[in-house]
Amino acid sequence: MSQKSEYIQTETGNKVSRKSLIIGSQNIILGGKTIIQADCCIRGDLRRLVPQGQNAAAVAIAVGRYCFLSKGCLLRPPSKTYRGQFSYYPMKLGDHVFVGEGSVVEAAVIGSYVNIGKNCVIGKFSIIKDCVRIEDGTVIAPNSVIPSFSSVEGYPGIVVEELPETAAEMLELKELYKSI
Amino acid sequence: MSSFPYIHISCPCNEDRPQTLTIDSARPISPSKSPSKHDFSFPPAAPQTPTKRRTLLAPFTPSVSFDATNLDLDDDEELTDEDEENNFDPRDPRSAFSLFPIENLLYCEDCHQIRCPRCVQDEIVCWYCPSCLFEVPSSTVKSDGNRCTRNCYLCPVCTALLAVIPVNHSTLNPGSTSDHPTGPFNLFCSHCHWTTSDLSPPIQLEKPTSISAQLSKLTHSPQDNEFTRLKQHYAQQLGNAQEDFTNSPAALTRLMGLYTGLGSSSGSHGGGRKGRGVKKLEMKEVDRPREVIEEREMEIVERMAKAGLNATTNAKQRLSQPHEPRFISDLTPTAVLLRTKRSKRCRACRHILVKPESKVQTTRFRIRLVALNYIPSLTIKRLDSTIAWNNLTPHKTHRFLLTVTNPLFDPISVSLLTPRRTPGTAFASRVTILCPEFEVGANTDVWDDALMSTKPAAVTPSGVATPPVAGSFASFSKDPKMSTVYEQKRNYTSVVIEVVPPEIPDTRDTRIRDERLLEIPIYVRVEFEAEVDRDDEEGGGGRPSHSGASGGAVQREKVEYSYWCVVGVGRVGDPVEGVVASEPNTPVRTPVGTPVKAPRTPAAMRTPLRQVRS
Repeated sequence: MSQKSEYIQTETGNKVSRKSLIIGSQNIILGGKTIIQADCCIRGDLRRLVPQGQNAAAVAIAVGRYCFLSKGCLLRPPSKTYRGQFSYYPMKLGDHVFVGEGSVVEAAVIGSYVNIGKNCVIGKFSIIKDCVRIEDGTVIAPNSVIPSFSSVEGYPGIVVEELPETAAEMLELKELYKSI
Repeated sequence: MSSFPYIHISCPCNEDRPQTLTIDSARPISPSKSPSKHDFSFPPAAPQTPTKRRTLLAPFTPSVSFDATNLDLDDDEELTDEDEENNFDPRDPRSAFSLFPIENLLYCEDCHQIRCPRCVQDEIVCWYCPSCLFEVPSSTVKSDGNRCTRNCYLCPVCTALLAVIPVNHSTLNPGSTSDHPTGPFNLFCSHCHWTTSDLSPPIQLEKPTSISAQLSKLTHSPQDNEFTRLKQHYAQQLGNAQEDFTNSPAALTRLMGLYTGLGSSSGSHGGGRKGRGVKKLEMKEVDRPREVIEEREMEIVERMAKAGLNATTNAKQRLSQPHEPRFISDLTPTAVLLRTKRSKRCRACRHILVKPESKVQTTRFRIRLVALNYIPSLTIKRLDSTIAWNNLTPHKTHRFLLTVTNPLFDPISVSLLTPRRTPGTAFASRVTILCPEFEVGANTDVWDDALMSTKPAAVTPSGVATPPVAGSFASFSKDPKMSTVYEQKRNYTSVVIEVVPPEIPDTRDTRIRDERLLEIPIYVRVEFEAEVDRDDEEGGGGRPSHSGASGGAVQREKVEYSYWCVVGVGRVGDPVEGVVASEPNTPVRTPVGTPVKAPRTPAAMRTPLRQVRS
């Protein structure tokens, strides 16, 4: 696709663009065969604050296998003030998660086989279940839950369509990984 | 329509016209039998040589030769006119209802047919709230309605989910909040920042839990009151007449008379029934037209004038609420609508095609017969990356790559047939599939592919091996091997399709349909040899498999099926200078012509998708 030196390949098959910005990489887990394109930003430094003396929770962002983070997207762990304490909370992405160009993700959990279009905003602490397609330009409100087999659109995002039983095959990203 | 390119497959339910029933009138319709036998049986006019094994499957007797090479290219023009009605017309209003992407189609193993969402029957497996993902028992749905009765509420302004926050919540001084936030509480929309305090009068909740119970006490819309009043009224009426409403047939006739009598006129009830000496039974209807009180309307107008249009609701907001409020301050939070998990049955044979697991949070299926696993799927790519899908140049030959992928475990031979000119329009585009007959390998293990990758490309039906082309297409176009397949890999084969669109006036504004939309109907015919277990035959057969676990005598038999699909190639753009019509001299005179007659034969009309020749 492009010159070979653009991506750094890890032992587990992750391909990370040299032009991406990954902060706090010790708090980020990539499951393998995940592609991170140029200008992506992953904020692994924003991790949970714990009282002194305790070991900090190590993982800020966990990403599954065969995920694809397109150009210019941002993964930022969600944050809130709970009992007077401001803190970030871990973010978890499943397998075969596609994040489109310029999208901002602050979800708590994203399941497997999820396709997030271009220029979307996934609000804080939202939960996206398996087999979900989020159309371009959708804004998902904070704390919302998107059930499985949904196609979401709009501002704020609402379920506009039910996906067929073949959603997992449609949203699989193995071929996409091979093409890079 | 969706973005280009797209490929939609025509479900055979499109072809189940009433006339097939009249043809088959000799056979009595018995409800106990599978309706598929009836619906898809062959007309008696056709040669009746039923196969031994599957009687419901009629022999495939093509009325036209499918052999593309035998067709004389010279007289194709006449043939085109003659056989136009045989072709599938994607612009036909009826066909629009049966075209679906292959992902949306199911496959019935017993009818051997594609099943689209129109020809399946849904059955609810469970109800659940899409927000809290808790299952709601169907008894609760019956009693409490189809909305979440827990704590899930949507913002009436923007439909985002509402959160519960304390009224004195402040993000500015986080240190001041105690461990346990104390009430009262608001429902707060984190998307548009609407809160229940914005209402007039504001709603504030005592506790952060059991919101439904609290809200139902606080909000009494006039419509709720009206419903309660109606319910009370009719319950009372029913109570008065309880002794008359027994299960006897007489009571039923009386009940019927009651309502028919009401329908006629109010004056009639002085007559007939009185004479029988029965206690006068009459249901008093609460029949009050919606009153428009002038003062109230004036009040609303004044309020609108004062508050401005921004304080009024839009149609969507208004109609989503039972009391149809005119002002945003009258909107109340709406409970989340429940969603269902459904299983799907074939309408013809009642077999289950899809059965999801009943647990709400799993995405697995117990049964899932999707067409993707049974019929070869087509994809289209452009060979020349300069082709703009939305702006095809008239008179220019556009080359696309049509790829057929085989999901079966047996190699298949595929014939693609397309009308030489796209049907259903005055502005027909010329379409040529350069290699309409070819083989597609079996969907074997990926490892086989890796091991066989050194093997040269498979031999095409025409006997010429084609290595995958690496060079530019410009040199390739002069190649006489153009008539062979373009690329062949493990379980897919790609062939070239040429499209020459004509000049088409832009009709989007003046007419309902878009003449510039270029859709190509393609008739796909698939033939393969499947292993069939003997035990399997009586049960109507199943998908050919290599398992062989049943231990029955495995034998091979020829299976063939066919379907129409529509390829949405793109939109034809404005004519470009320098590119002119070249009708007699096609840029590449194709050595193998595409058969003109892609038949809408009985094969596609009334027989099952899949047939077996002994």
